[in-house]
Amino acid sequence: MRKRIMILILFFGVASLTFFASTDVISLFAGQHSFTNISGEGNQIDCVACHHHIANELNHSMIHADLSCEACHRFNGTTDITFARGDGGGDGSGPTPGKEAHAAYTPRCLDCHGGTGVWIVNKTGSSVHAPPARAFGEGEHYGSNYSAHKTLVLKANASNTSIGENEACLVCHTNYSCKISYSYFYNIDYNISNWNISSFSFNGTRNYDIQWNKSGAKHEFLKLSDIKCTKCHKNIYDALVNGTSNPSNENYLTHAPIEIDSTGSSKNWDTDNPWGHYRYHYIPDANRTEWVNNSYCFRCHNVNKYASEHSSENATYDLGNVTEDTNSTEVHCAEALTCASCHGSGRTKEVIDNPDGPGGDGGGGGDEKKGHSGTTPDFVDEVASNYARTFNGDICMGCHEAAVHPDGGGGQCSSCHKYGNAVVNIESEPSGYATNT
Amino acid sequence: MKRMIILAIALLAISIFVLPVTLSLFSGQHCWYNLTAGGNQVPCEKCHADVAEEMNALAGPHTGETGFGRLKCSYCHRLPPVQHRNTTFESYTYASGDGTGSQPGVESHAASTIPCMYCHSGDKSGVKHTNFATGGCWGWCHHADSPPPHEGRYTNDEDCRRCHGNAHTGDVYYIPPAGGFSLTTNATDTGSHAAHKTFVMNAISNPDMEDANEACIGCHTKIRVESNFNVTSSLMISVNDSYNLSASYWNVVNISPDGYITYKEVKEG
Repeated sequence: MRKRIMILILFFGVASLTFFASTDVISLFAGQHSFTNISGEGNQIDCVACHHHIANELNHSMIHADLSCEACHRFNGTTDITFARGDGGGDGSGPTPGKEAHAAYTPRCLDCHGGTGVWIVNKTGSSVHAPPARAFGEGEHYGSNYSAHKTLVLKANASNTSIGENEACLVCHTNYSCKISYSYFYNIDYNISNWNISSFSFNGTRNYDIQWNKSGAKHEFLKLSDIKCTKCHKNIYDALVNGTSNPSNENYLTHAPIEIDSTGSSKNWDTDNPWGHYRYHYIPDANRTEWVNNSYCFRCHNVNKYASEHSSENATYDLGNVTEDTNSTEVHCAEALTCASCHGSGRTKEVIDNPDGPGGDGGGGGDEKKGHSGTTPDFVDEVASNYARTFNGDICMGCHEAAVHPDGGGGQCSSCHKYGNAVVNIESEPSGYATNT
Repeated sequence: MKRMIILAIALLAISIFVLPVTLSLFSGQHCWYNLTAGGNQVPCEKCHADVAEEMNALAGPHTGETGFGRLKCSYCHRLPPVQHRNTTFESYTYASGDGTGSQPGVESHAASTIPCMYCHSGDKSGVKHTNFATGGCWGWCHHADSPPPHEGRYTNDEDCRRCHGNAHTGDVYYIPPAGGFSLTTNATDTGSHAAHKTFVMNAISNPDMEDANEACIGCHTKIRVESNFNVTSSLMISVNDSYNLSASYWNVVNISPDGYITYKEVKEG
């Protein structure tokens, strides 16, 4: 006890002496009178001092890593924003007060990627071109009406989570994560009689949720090849790769239509065809996990891009003319289309006779080869005209999903192939299960 | 032992008896500063040496970058009336002993902490007088102004130059408004795209410092800043297939933040 009292007395003694001897006033917030000199050219306020995290993200980014903070956040090449400057532009006119922004603004991605793009000076002093975000950078043709993601971009522009359309840009082009909750029809039923559809109905609701988990970093920009279509469209991926769940995993899956023929030249019906080249749409079971990728999607949804990246296939598939049939030059990344875009009447890949069809074994005198080619009006065009785009693919897949082909139905070929009669039920992705009787 | 005690008492008694003066605590407390001259004669630096040290260490804004020396404490902490300012910022009456009389302080006695925007909220900027930084400000021109600049608080050209002159360009400038947050009197200052607007507005409502000073000082000085960020890292997108028999489109019905990343940033002083 005595010892404690002594320590207490000693403590108060020392404290008293300290206060008594001290002459300085201790200031709160040390450093607040050390002003950063901003009279030099450019920006001297160190953005990174408060934004290390973002700087670190940008340093790991595949795109834009060569750009300074100011290149984007004090960009006024197209925006007419006046930022505060301490140097006044270096002409001795004195500091320039900011108007629309003081130190920085949150840029709309299209500020640089709109119109024909802009040239920006990067960290090394080189001029680099910010390419236009095709379709969405073009004023009156904004997005065109063919861009599959136009409604996403419009909604992003209307929402207030970020400036402009940035939510849509970021969710695909950066490591910003996303969850998507889809709602669409569960299945369709229809009858075909003499290549006329009747009793069409759509039924039920399918809810499908996806989660594309990334690091969440909005300043980690992805290279284009790392933007995976199948991450957001996993229902389609699942349909293609995992197949139907009922009654069992099957070889012939929706969203990968076959050309209907009996065999190819080498009798490998799932890899080649009577025209002597590898099938364009269909992917054999063994290759699906590897081949179902962006490139596969672009085969239909951006023919122009696919053709430009696969020049060797231009001649094989006549992709130059196919591109002309589509609107793929007017879209951002993917085109919303129907089978008729390429296979309708007068199109480069309009439906033609099956050159190695069954040749009359159904009693049709060889007309089974014909299928719905040459129907008047054109069957494919009729489907596109009379039915909503969302049903078009599945109407076609009702027959072109090879799994639905009845096995061992000798003598029945003409029912479908000649007379165009079928009763179809097909589920939407990811199950895609179909019956065709 | 007894002898020692007696000796000590005797020595103490003699000491007290022969000492001619009284020892005072707090020496110097009767040396009064003369406040009758113009300006401020109380040396702020006596107590605020650390602030003075900061002000002397770097040549930046307010600290001599213009080539005319650093601002005096009183320029900011005994605010003069400023004509070009947002008048929502009040000027104060400080205690003053200038001249033969005296002025008691009203809102403040010796000094006040002031909003940066008091001086930086006007609508004028740039060069006011070309090539006149070393001219005779008061004697030649401004003594005749009505009202005189800063209501005649400063009649010494040196005071004028420290705020308005630039020895490097030779010109005289307006105090630059901190535009870009819609807080100045300039109608074109909309702040409509300012990335740090919420930072500034929250600084204004925060009581730790005057007005927006937390934000101003956070960026424009070497003060240490800790920031806790909570930023969106994920979006939730709801997409409905909107259809009837003959038409359909994918309707994006909602986009909203879904996940957040939290991290701390420390700007070292």
